[in-house]
Amino acid sequence: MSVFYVTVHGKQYTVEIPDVRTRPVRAIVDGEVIEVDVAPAPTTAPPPAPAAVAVTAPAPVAAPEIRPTPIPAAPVATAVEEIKAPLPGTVVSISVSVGESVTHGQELCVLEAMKMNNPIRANQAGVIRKIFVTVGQQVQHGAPLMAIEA
Amino acid sequence: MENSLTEKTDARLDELRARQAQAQSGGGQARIDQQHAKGKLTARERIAALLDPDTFEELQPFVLQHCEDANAIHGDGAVTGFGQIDGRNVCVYAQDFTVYGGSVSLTHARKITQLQDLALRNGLPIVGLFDSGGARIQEGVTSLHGYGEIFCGNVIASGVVPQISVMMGPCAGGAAYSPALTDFIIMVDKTSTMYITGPDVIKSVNGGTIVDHESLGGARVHASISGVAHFIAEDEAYALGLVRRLLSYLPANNAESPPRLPPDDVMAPANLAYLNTLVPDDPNVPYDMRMVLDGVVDRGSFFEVHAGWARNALVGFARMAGQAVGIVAQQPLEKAGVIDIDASDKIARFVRFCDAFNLPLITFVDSPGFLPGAMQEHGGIIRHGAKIIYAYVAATVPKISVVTRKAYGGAYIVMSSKAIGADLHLAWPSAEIAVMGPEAAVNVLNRREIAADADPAGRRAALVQDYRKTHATPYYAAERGILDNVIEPAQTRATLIAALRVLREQLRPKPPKKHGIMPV
Repeated sequence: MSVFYVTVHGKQYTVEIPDVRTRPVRAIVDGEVIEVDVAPAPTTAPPPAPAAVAVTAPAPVAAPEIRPTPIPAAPVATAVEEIKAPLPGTVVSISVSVGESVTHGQELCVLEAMKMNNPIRANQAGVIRKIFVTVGQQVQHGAPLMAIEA
Repeated sequence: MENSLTEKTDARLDELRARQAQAQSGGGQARIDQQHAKGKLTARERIAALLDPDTFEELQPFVLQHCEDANAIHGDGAVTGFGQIDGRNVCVYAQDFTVYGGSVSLTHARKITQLQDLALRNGLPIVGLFDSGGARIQEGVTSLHGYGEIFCGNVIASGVVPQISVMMGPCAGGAAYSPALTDFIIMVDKTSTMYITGPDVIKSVNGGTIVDHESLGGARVHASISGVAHFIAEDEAYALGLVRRLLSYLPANNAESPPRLPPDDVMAPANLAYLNTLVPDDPNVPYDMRMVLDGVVDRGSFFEVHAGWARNALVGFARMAGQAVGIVAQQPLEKAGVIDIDASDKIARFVRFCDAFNLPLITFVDSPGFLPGAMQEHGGIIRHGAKIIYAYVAATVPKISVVTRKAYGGAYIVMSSKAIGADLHLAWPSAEIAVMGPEAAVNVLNRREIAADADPAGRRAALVQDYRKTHATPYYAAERGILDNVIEPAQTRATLIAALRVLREQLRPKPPKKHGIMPV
């Protein structure tokens, strides 16, 4: 646990970081947990010094927002990665289009399944090459939803 | 007279020091340089990085595989001994890749089994640092015998002392079963691999299918697909840091209580009030269960296990007012928090571990149910899901559960419900505890009524609303005493800390048996 005092626009925030080596970094800003993406350090270098952590100013609201769950690195980096339906369900919205660049963890579409709107996120950064589904379409478990090219 | 005695003693000391220096150099500087070039530390460097400074006491550094062989290398590729982590005693062994590629001979294996015996007799955790080319083929089948003896040691120590394996190089074939028999596996990204049959064997059997080491058994595969690895580390230093953090939650053995932080070191969450509005009103909108934990456990204390695998379930260690506990939860952000085969295995295994090492279990429930589908049924979700029940019922540590939102059907009962032995079963006002979801229930209960109505859709919606009000609440269960209380979310931490002060090991008479048969 490290504690920093960060001043942004004249206001001081207390930033606690339980473990700077997690990705994304979980920072507790004035008691509110936010996740911070940190630029990758050179691979052989020791973990980034706490001072290098760039803390974005937290939203001043008390109620925390839903954040994307960090997605672990794809097991094997391949050029084209198919995003597959993790559950059988219905596509209720699509938030990207073919040719669009997406970032790792960006929401691609929402799959209504098990009475829940499940956000489906990119497992790697890249360009959307194919969208296999349309809004309203029912999909089976494991059915391809989109293809992302790294 | 006195002079010559001193000289003689000095000569003996010189010989000892020379032999020590030779043993310390392992396979020699050239091989040490090769190891460093691969971004890897040597066995002794790793142990030094793991333990508190200058606490390592090595055992049997002079052992040779064949005493008659003048070129045999001291230590035989295994560095074993004991030392301290955060001032607490541990046993540690490391395979030395610079000595015969870290390969396992019977001599090498017996250094490890003797350490296992010492750890068991003295109730000390065992940390193994793996980096080995496999069996020492020149030695023939006796090296396999050595593996078998190590496996025996692993099984006997299981549940008595914590066993942690850190994979820092290759681990192929039967060798992978020793770490698999231990409690936690940490794999270093890009330098470690684990598989039973390697790419060459697969190629010869499958006729030409090419698989590389990394995509077959690399750290990322085992941390996200197979679940073999509990943790993935970006480098060796991080991996060793994980061992130290992991041990900070664990007792040295099953007869001890987990370590407790002094009250001065405990940091309560800064903000609890947000918990009251965390669960969205719309039951179809997910939220992050880790945010629930942030407002309940000691600040910064949640240490997630199996973070990359079966992410619809969440397990890990945490502290409550300094006391180490095990946390089990669903994650509504992932697959709606359903229970599937992998989530069942993840939860059951963690519950077993916590029970073995006296860690109270706190369970947060938000699951719409088991994942439907032929794939799950054919994969044996029945026997996998049964493990969760088995593990919770058999666990005698204090068990507390909190339903935050959905608890439907089988998923309600298996997740540390009152019926399967929770000491304290609580719910938030947002809880929906029922036999099935409102839509499904109405379809079964009111099918004829809906069909006969002039406006079936409207009738159906009204009935769903009605069912939601009467059944999908915590009060139906609370009125029947199968829920101990409905609490304000912001009060959760205070309630759990108070309960943990009261709850003790469950002592219930059990019929005599050798052991139960867990559905595996």
